[in-house]
Amino acid sequence: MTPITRSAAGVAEPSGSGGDTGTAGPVAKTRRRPPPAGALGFRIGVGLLAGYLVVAIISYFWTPFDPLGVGGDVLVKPGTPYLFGTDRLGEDVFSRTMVATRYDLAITVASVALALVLGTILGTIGGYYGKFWDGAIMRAIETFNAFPTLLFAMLIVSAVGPGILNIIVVLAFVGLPSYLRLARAEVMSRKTWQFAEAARMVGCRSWRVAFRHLLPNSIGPLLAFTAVNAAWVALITASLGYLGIGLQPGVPEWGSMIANGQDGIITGQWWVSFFPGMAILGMTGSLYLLGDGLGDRFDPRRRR
Amino acid sequence: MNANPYPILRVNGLRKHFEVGHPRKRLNAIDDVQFDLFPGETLAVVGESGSGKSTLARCIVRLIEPSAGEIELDGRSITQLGPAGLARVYRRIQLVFQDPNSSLNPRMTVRQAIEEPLQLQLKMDRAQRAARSRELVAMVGLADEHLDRHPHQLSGGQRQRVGIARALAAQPQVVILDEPTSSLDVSVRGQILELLQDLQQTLGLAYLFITHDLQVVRRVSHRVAVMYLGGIVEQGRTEDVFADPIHPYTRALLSAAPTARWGVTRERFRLAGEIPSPVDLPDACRLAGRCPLAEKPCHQAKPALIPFGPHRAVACPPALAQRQSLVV
Amino acid sequence: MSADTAFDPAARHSSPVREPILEIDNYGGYFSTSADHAPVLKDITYSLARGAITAIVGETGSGKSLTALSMLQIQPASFVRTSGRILFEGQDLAELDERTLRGIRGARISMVFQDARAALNPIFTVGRQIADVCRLHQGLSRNDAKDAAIAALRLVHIPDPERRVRQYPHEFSGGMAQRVMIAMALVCKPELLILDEPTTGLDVTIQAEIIALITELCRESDLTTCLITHDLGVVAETCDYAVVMRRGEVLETGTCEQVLTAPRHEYTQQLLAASRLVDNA
Repeated sequence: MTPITRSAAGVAEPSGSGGDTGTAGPVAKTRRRPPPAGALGFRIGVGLLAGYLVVAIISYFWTPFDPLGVGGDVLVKPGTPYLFGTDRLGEDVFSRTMVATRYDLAITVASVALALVLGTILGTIGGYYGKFWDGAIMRAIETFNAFPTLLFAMLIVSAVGPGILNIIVVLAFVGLPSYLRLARAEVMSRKTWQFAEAARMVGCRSWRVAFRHLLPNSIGPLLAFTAVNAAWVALITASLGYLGIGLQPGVPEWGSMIANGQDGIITGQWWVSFFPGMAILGMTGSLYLLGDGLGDRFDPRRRR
Repeated sequence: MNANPYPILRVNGLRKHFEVGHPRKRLNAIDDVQFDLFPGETLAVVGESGSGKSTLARCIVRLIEPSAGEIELDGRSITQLGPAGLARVYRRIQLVFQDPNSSLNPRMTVRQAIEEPLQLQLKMDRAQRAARSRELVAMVGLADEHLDRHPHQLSGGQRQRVGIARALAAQPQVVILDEPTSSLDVSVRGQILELLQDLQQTLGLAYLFITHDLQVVRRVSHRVAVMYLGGIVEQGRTEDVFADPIHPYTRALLSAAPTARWGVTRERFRLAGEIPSPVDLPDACRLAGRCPLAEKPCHQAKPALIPFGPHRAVACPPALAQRQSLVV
Repeated sequence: MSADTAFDPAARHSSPVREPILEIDNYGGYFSTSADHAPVLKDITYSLARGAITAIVGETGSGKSLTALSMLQIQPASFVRTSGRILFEGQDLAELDERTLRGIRGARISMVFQDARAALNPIFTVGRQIADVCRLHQGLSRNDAKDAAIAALRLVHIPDPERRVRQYPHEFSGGMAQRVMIAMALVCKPELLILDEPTTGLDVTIQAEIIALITELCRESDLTTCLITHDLGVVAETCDYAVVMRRGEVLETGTCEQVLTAPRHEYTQQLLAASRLVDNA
């Protein structure tokens, strides 16, 4: 999670800051509000995600059983010694779920980061420089947007082949337009504010005004969006895995695990699909909670 | 006032038009403006909405590109300069903005805001910047502790002081002030104006003071130019213009401003109607439709600024004719 | 240039002082959203004399607008009253139920806000909006309401009212829109008109027109006016009485003449000094 500096968050205004405050503006007086109801959700989300991270790290050093260890007892119910049971090939579901955390988490974080950085840069360029650059960037993005996202992801991944890097890049690409549009809109609306003009007067060249002055002030909604975007990426990754596209076969991944176990749901071996499914649910849910909390924090009504 | 007879800022034939609306119509925001500003003096530019005064400020420093005209700073033309030349120009002429709430970057501390020009324009190193920024905040009446605060931790008056300090960082000779006190509470205005006057004395600055507040004009300026719909209609020494306004618009403006004095009833010089839209104006005196003195020639061509005695010019032939007949 | 005509105080309030139409008595409160529940209004006490123009003067944060909103009970929901009453013709407005209040708003007490074009609904014609007020309070028919709207526009000196009544708010300039708001406020002939910074943001020449209009309307129809402003110039032009507020407290009240020529409180003196940046002779 991107660290949020103190000055970015809605620091409470000194209430009644002297009798000579001017009229309202972007630095308007705001009354200190009680912590929003979402704060608890925010903390749950952060806590859960931290838990996932811990599990992912631990999985490098220890899992109860070898996650790729074929040949153990087949289709054993959850309990001891197999906490989540075993699947059709005798692999321990618990260990596989642990290991899969690495991939799903890594893909989510990496593709969101990539989309955020690239989308923001391109959006800032388009928003600030306008005219030609804006036109070119927007036309390119609109072409991408013409495709339904999951289908698009599927097509590309099928074309370029399986592999974690490919998935990261593809999902970043698919998520990029939203960041771009957000950044662009924020920068465009701030372009006319007087501090942007002032920056030019004190010697800033265009790029400096755009990136050093306008962008940091626009970052709020973008950060709030990353959580929602991350939830979406997590789901899509699992969907791709479920469909059999994506990581190499055999590599544990929640989506593909669900696919492997889906026959079992009817015949009574529910655990093979259930636990990976809960893992996805947990991750997506905590990301949404996080997004809600961030959204409250960067609420334009509170924003400076 | 000023011993130096040579203007430090000279604006000639300045025009700026915009194309607005569907179908495209022309909006003449600034229409043939011309004036001189001398070192150490304050020239006030006063007008209501649509007068073009804010556009004027931005055109002079080329934040907005003028459509036509010449701007000379200290004898050298700045109208055609490229970005490198402009960067040098911004060391001699600076702008103080109207709204202290939006003219400071909310994410930068006062120190960062003031040190930015020191770094970018004066190329000072860290130690020099730290020393100079302390000097600058002291100059505008703030304390060292304010340096590490963010704008939202300061009051409106304090933010405006920061804006002034930032403008002074580059050590300009000319400062354009775009309504610097309009967004401030009444009790703070006086302090800021005093500060500006002190700074003018100490640093020998020339001010182009843009405002709509006649009280402020009277308090701080040596000369005044009255703008209406993009053109200057009257200009002269402040005390002369206030004591005896000639142009009908100036008279209407002065008579409309309320004074906080009990028991004074002013005689209002009224203009008919309201300020028209500045789009697609006909080639005539801009005031012609509303003016009680309007005659036929007023509707046919725009009158030029006609000199009237030393330091005075009025763009109204009928008013001047009245004056002449009185004199004779 | 300025003809400083000799002023005749008798002309200002020729009628004897009458009993007040609205009294605010020890009114106080805080915002529930603030962390420390610091009082934003402290013991506000003043009254509005019938038929007179009373100015409430103060800067940002003085509480002048908040008090005015409380008169109509349209203050922010987070405001909690801790003490006091607002008596309108004997009844405490803060205790009335919403239904009764609705009957009062617009019909007996009206309010005009600062930004007229923002206060008007952009998707309805001006005539429709004024007519709606009439029909709500007086139950007029559609045609009668339309006539009333035209008459209201004429009252505020909008030229060509039959045509303008069919126009939308965006077709009016700032000054004209403010006149429309005043028309809308007066169409049901209320007893008390509250104006919150009605001229702030308007051009100087337009301000003068609006102030003259307000004064004229008040005098002609014996309307009690409460004018909220930070501009002492406006106060000097129009008002009979003045109430000076700062940071939620009333500092000084009195006749306009008294407050402007012989202010008792130091803050009032400072405000006066700041408002008169230049010493006229």
